[in-house]
Amino acid sequence: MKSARFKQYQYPILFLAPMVLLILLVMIYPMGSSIAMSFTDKLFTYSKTHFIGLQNYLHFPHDKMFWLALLHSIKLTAIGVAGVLVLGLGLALLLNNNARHIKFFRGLLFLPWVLPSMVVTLTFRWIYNDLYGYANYILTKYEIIQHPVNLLAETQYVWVGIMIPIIWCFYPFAMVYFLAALQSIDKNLYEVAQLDGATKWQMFWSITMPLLKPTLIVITILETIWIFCNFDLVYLLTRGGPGDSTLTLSLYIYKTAFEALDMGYASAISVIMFIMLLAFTILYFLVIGRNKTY
Amino acid sequence: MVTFVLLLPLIITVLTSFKPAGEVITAVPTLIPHRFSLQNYIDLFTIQEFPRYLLNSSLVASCTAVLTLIIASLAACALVWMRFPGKKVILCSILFTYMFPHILLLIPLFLMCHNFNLIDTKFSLVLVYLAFSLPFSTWMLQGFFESIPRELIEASFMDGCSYRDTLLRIVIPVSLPGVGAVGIFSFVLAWGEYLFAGTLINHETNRTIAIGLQTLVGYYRTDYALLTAASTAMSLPIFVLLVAAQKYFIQGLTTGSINE
Repeated sequence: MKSARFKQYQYPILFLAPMVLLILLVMIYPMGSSIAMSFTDKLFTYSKTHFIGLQNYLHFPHDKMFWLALLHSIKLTAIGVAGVLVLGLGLALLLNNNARHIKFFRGLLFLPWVLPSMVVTLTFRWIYNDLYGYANYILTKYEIIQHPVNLLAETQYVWVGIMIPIIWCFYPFAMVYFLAALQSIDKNLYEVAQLDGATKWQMFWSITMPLLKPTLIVITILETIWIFCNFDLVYLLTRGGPGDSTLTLSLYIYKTAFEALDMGYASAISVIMFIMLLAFTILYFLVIGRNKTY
Repeated sequence: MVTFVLLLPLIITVLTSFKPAGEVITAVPTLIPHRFSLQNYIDLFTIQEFPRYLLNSSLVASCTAVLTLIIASLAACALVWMRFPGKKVILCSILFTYMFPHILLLIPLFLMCHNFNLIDTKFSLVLVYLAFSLPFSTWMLQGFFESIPRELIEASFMDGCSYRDTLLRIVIPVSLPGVGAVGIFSFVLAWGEYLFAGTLINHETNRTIAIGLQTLVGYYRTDYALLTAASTAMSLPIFVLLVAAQKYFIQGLTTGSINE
């Protein structure tokens, strides 16, 4: 009986097994062990660990650094997502025509998304360079600032310094998605509106925006998750500095685990971050589920 | 015009990399070099480790891409054409793992690799990247496979083809653009990944280009000529791949998670 059932599903099982096993091994199992570790006092350099119950979780509400990092993460996500949405939508509207070579521009503008974070970092460090960089040259030439500054080394400018690369890296995804959504809008709607004497601006707000709403929600959620968790760019650009002025939650986890070597507490913060994201992910699924009935 | 402004950072980098040594650091930065010179690239490839970093990255990225294609197309086949219980659960978990933030897996994966003595091996990197690229790749391929007419597959079975033959002779050739896009996606992912390449690899001989570039920053902090050349060299393969498959890549990306 059992072998007959196996025979019936032999192929699906064989075909799916490699993927399912890999994901279990590299994603689900580690997540489980991370949760288990968060209840211990595991140190990186010391092999003995003790079960300490909820101590890690009781510690974090008093941890000023945690709240600071959370605040920075939220700040990063809020500005980043807003910038990405505006830039992505603007570009999508610009690219949504049939001009010649438009496909070529679409491809070019997509490029920042696939660039390795290391390349992005180096590029922006070079542009920001306080003595020879392009940004300072332009800013001082037009007397926007008096003296050259290093955008990544001064507390009052560092947020400008990291937001530009982040928005630059994440806008292409939003752009491509908005573009796909724009192209699926029925052109007749605009013609009818034009006959009724609607202006471009009116058409945008009463036709384009309502029809883009589902896409907008999906992109917002995806970008929020990605920017909230972003590690590479922030770490490579500033390492959380100057001081702790750009320390985000991802960086705090990394530093707790690999610099303070407190794996147990770092796992606990990971779990807390995971719960926050889980809430967001569930939201994503709810939205997608609702879109189906549209 | 807008494209120019947005791609300016990239243009600056590429052009700087062609400047001869004296021209990089000037009081008035210019965009276009007065003299084009390949000196930076020559310097770059005389640094002993650099070709090795490139080689390591290509190796890791190609392995990831090939294995992703095999595993993901098998899984996508099962999901599209076979009937079995639990399909919906698997589809949902694929989407879920796709959005899974990688930073959360860093600590447990590091310890796991540590326990199995996999630290400092390229194998560990391939394994990790494979798991990161699989959910999205499967999802993307599934979208492409679904557009293949069912009759074609049924006809192939009628003619007595096995699953393997059908997959190799009909499904893959018909959805070649999609398969190519998925291959490129996983290649790009593995090529430039920083976080795991940085934590799982210690020894110089196994470093990938992303980490290699960082060591160059350490050694030659002010040598932006060299660094921009290295950045250009690192981005070139990605640029070529993207241009080659731009249309399918973007199409595949959008069918990815909006539909369904």
